[in-house]
Amino acid sequence: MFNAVLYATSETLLMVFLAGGIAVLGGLPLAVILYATGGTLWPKPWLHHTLGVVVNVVRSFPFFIFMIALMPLTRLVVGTSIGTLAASVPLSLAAIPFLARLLESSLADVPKGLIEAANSMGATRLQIVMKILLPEALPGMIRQVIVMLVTLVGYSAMAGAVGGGGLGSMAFNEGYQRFNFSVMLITVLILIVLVQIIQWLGDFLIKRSAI
Amino acid sequence: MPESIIQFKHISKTYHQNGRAFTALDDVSLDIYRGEVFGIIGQSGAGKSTLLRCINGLEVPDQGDVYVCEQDLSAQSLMAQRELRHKIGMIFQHFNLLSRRTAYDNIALPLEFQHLSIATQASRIQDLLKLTGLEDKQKAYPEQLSGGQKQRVAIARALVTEPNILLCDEATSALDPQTTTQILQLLRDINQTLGLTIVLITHEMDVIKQIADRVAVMHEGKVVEVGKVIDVFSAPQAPVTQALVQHLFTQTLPERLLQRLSNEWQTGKYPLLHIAFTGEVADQPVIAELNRRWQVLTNILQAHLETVQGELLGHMLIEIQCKESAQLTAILEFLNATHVRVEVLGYV
Repeated sequence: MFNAVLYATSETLLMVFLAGGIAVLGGLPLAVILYATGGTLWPKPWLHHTLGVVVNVVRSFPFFIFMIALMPLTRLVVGTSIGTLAASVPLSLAAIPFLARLLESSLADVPKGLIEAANSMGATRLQIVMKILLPEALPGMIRQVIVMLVTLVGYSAMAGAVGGGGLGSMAFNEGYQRFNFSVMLITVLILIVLVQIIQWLGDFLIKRSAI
Repeated sequence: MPESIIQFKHISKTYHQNGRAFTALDDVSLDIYRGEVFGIIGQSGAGKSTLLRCINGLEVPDQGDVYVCEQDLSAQSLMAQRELRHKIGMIFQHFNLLSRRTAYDNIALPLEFQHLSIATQASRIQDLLKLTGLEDKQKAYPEQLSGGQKQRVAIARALVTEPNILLCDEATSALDPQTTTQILQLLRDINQTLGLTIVLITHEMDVIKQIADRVAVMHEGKVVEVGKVIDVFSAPQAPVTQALVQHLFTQTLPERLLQRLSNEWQTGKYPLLHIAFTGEVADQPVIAELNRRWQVLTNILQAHLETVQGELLGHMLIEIQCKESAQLTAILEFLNATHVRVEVLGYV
């Protein structure tokens, strides 16, 4: 029993942090492009709107449906549509546009005056992104990544219910379908602790990054 | 003829927003000389901010040309413009410092953009920390600094690339009067020791008075008046300028007088004159002369003598207790003849 819970927890952590990592790798550049093309940094209204529509479409899908719709792709990437690794594919792809929107808003919070000042110093676009935008937006962006990770904990439980493994799968199969109330309670408690730890970790990082 | 470092030639700029057009600059031509402190004053929306940004290409005029150091800005590639911007520093009303960098690292920013070696950076930054009196604040973050200190960091950051021109965008508008004076003093020192040309925009006449050599007055996108500060102050030509100068003066008029002030000459009231005089006239006993010639009593309600760019500038509010308009006319003629600028504000 203890080993089963531990194993399920490790599966959940794998899904959340693997998908979270991929989401940061994909979402951050997407956020920068959304921000830059929509503003004065690199005005490309056409690209901005196209990307905006794609992001909105992906975000409109209920996650459950998205997971099922993505199964062919999942099979192509990891060879199977069942298991932790398979569940990470739709989780990552759903998290990328979600995080991109959150990070875009953090970037938009950077005062415009800073960008104007950098322009007055003859900075290139890349320099403005690397030396002004990203560093100044960092505390806000960490906060948004935490929001995404917590959301992913919830989504991973949903993925678990349809064969993705992890705590969600355990709660559904062992707890709900076999009426094992104590298993359900334990998994939910672990999820609560997990969310607390992620939030605490995030607050710690924000405190350290915000001078 | 002084050498021009910045030339605006018939520049115009119109913004379009929500289907409405707003003319920010309307056929502006202006020369700014090397080494001077040039002030641009006007109310908000007068176009001064747009004009300032045309100097470093942050704004591009729809029509006309801007020459900086004899180079036509519009003819430059983006790369060349960036090169040129290294030679033009700029400071802002809200300082625009990076909150997550120390004072030192903020000053280093433009040098990082230029990929200068750490050693070169360090020596230049140390010089500027000294010049701006920030040596003990170099490790402080902006939120730990006062407004005046933040603007000093911004000035150091603007000067670290060794520019020829410094642009000041309402640089003292967010500061209290005392700090404003200190910052203006620092800018004046920099102008004199480094021979830097300073262009500043402001809506405060007081700032112009404290620092500028020449001033341009802007109104609705046009330059309505330009000249030496002392001339513009003592004899403003355009109505906007007159209003600005008068405001500087009448803002201290007692409430009691303002209430009594009327445009009509009624019985029991006497004309209230505003007289302004410069230089040698300040030494003459003009008021005493009025008493002697017309036997009128003059009541000095307010008097103010100051030095603008090394020249004496006097302002006085006097009530002349004369009875008839013929006498008043004669007095006004006399005053005009003595090169005193005089204006009837009303009757009190």
